[in-house]
Amino acid sequence: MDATTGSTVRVTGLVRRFRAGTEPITAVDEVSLEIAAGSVVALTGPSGSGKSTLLHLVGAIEQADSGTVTVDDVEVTALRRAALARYRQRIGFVFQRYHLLPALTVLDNVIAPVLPRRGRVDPVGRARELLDAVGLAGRERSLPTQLSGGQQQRVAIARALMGEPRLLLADEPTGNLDSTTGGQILDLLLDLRDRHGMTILLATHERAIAARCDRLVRLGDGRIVEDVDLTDGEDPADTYDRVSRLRL
Amino acid sequence: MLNFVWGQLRGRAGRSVALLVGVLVATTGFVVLTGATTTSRLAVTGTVARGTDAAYDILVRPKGARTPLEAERRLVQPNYLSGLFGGITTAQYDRVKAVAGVDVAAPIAMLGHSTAPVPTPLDLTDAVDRSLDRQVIRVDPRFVAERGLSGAPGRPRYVYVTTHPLIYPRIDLPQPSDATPYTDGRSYPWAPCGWAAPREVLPDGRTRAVCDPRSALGSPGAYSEREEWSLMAVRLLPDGRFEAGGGVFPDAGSGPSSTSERLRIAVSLTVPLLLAAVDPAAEDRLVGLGGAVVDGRALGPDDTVTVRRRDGEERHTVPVLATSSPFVDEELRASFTRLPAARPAGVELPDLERALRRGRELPAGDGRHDVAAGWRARLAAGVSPDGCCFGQLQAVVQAGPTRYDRLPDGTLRVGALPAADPEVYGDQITFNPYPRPWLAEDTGARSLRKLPLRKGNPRNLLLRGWRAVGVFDPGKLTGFSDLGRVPLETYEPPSAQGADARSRDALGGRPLEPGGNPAGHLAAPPLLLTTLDSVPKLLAGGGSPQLAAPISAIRVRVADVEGYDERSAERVRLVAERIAQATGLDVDITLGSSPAPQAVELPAGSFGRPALRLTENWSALGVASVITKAVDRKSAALFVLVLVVCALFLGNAVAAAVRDRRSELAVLACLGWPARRIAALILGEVAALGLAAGLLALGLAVPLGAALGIDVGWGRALLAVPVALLLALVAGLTPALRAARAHPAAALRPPVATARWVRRPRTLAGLALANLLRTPGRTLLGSGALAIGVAALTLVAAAGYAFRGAIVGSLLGDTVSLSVRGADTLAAVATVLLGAAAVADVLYLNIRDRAAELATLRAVGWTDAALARLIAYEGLLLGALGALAGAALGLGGAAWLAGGLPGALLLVAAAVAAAGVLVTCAAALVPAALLRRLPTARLLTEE
Repeated sequence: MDATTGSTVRVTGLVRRFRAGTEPITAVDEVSLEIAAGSVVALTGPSGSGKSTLLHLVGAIEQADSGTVTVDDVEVTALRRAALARYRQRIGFVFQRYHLLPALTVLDNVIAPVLPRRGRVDPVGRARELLDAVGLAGRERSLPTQLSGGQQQRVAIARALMGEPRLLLADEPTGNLDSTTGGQILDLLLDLRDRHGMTILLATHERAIAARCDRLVRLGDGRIVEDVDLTDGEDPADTYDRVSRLRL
Repeated sequence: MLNFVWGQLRGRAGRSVALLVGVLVATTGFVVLTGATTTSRLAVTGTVARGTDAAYDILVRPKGARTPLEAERRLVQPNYLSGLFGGITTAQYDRVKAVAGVDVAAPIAMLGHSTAPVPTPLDLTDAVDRSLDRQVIRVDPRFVAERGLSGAPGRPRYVYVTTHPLIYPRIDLPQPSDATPYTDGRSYPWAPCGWAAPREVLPDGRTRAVCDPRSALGSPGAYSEREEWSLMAVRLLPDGRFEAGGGVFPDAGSGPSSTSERLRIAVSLTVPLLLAAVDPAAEDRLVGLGGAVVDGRALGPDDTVTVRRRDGEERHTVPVLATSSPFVDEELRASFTRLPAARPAGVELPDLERALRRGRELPAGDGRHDVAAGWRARLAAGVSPDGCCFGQLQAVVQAGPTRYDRLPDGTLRVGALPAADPEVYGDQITFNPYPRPWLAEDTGARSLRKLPLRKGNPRNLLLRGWRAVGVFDPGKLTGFSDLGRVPLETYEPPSAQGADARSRDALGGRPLEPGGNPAGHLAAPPLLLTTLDSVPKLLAGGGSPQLAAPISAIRVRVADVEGYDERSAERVRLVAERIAQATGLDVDITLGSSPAPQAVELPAGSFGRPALRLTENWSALGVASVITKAVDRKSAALFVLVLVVCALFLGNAVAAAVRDRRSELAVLACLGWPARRIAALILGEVAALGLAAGLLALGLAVPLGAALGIDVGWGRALLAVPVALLLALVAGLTPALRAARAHPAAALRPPVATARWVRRPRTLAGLALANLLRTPGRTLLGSGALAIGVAALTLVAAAGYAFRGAIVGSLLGDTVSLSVRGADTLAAVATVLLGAAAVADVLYLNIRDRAAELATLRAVGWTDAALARLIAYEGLLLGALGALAGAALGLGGAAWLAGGLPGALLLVAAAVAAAGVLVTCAAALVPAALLRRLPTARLLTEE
């Protein structure tokens, strides 16, 4: 796996509204945020606070009503449809429910993002490397249904890394996992960040997960209600205490 | 429950409307397409006899010309053309000629009976007593026909033989109004004879007219030849020869008088001759008409009616080929009586008969002459503008068909009719120059009518006649000679043998032949042939319906048919079917017909003929293509395929609709709904949709059918309601039962299973294949629907192109042939389109069920184009599977029918399969377009 550097992300005045029946809902309301390259940022907040929507907007699978998202000097919100697809190829996305393709084996799920494209790199070899990196060597031929939740999420992470992303977006990556497995997944993500320097933006409502991030951004009703730098403490236990005092 | 059903339908309006449209399309299509099955179905009846060699293979007659006997027993009477006067238009004839496979199409237009005089001269030489200076020889004629069984006396003809000189009118000189110049250079008044008559010069130099009573009989057409009587004046010259004016001796020249060694007087019998119009070239090809000409010349393409106008007189002459034999069994027998005391000269007409009866009567011999000999004698003069042969067309008589009563033993009894109205032969103003045939007063078997012809007026006399340009010998026509083997010949004279001892005795062991009565049971064949081009000119202005549709029958010879074999029979059958489809006329296949002796009872005649039991040479039709209203099994099979495809399509749609509601149904099950109630709920919904679609189809089918030129009719359209209901219920039954049986926990399982057959898809196509294998039932359903359509279209296309419209196979029978019809093609194409729609529906459902997966792929960087390619591959694979399977099925079917696998068939199958794939790919564009509207973010969040 090649070493990479993370992307910088700048969100400015981002707004996304939905309509629930006849009621308009503002899921993301004038959010502005800057994320340094290589940092791991936890988006927290109660259900409906706009965490997932903000991730989707940054990941360009949802369109903003106003505001901009700029990733490495590329204004994502201004990209056309084809360019957006190319943008998504350069980021990684991990979902709470993994969203593996049930018809494909583990190995093929990892390859899936590059299946429509024929690159110079051997996708099978790279997929094997990634599976090895996420601890699933030897399970290449398994089907997703034959794996545990944690294993499926590892496959999803490997799949997210297939395009050598500089930005990884993770929406509740441990939400469907027990705490031990969730911790292992976070270990994996942090290890990847350490090895490849990618920027990770993850949505979570778990204190233990959030406490291990570099920064915690708490959302409420679509707005940023708290933005805490968690790297200033020497002791991780202190950080955990600080996070524990926060209302996630 | 009904409220619940209504609520469900309303709550899922989109899916409800989609299902309703599906049922509507299927039902309307089925009703409209099946409407086309009853328009021109040809059923083949009868078995094929071998060993026949007719001049033609197919007989085309006007619609409705087939008699009940033919329809029921496949029996055709001898001289089947009698009674058929037009009914086929020249446009229909042109369409018959244009039918592929027709070698010769020979039309014949029966026009009616003309009458012509046939001389039956009687030799009175020996009846003359040369010792007398004056005497009268009375000739008592007896008209005899039908082997002597019918006979009737005629009025006597008188011949006044005098040794005194006779002077004769000069009709070649200008005629004053009431007097005529005579050979003695003087003029004499017409009185007392009413017309110029020979005059006897008495020893004292006075002259006395010898009146001929014929001048007082009126127009000849208005009386029978039996009623004609005459007085001829003949001088016995001192040298023993006889001298008479024009018209007395049969071979008299054109001068006012002539002499003869023998006293032979010209007596004529009026013989009906059936006039028909043909295409000389076609007739030549069909029966060798040109080769049968024995005198004069053949009819040419330029022969048509000639019109000459002179002195307020218009003469229309129809050129004909006249027969060498009149085929009339008739003769004149006469007894001669010498009347030594009769002195008719100078006796006025009212007293003439009495004067001729005066004095002694001395038998003076007898004589006889038959029509055949008379006709031969007439022909012997040779065809010339002044000689042989001519006849009148002032009164043309058309005879209808014979009517039969069927007796229990199978015998046919000829229905007797009273003698026809004599006026059909002419009245006092018709100017028919010949008396009507004596036998016309006999009991008849056919009704007669006069062919309506334009009439002249006193200032512009219109005289029509025919004149022979040549003579043909029917015996030299192809296929004429062997009566026992060749049925349905156009020119074969009918002949009937006595069927029992009494009849045989009566006939003297000889066959009964036509007797010269146009209304008689045995009718002579066409004996005067003119050109079709003459018909419009002959009929113009007369008001005859035959002017618009002159042709009575078309005899068709099919190309590449040599004798009878199964392949030829099938080829002929196909051509017959095409002709019937192209023209709507009655079509019978004569190939394979055979003689069928038929017992017929002929009632007694008015002139002595006893009732006879006869055996006639009828023909049994081998195979007939009869237009029926039966359901076309071939087309119906295609339409059933349409219905099957529709059912598959709907089954898929209903199954998907049910699958959509898995969780909702599971909740109902958890709430305690019994399985049957859940099934009833689903079936209630689809039944409601089916009923609504049926009612809509009822309204749509008739106008849609009218737009497509298919007669649907409201009766058939009513079928739409039960068909739609049934279709919807059949389609919904399986999904309803499955939903009812399913455990509530099933709702928790993913809608699309994982692959059962795991291979590593390294390409988009591989992934598409893997996806299809995840829903094998749905995949089979979609591709199966397409396969049915492609198979149907392959069969129809194979019939249309590989075999130029017909599969002529190794098997004989109705199911062998597939003749391409518009409705068939429509049905096949509709089936393919429905199959393609089924594939598109499968793809759409796949997209719906795998929406989250597709959203994931988009989220991980797949472009819209890549996703569309994935769906396109799925469509392509489904299409290829269906098209190849369908083409193989169609190919197999066509090969079985054709008895082989020609290269053209493979090409057709390949073309149809390619078309099926293309149509499917086109149909796949619709669901592929839906991909762009996938709510990616929502899908990823919800799942």
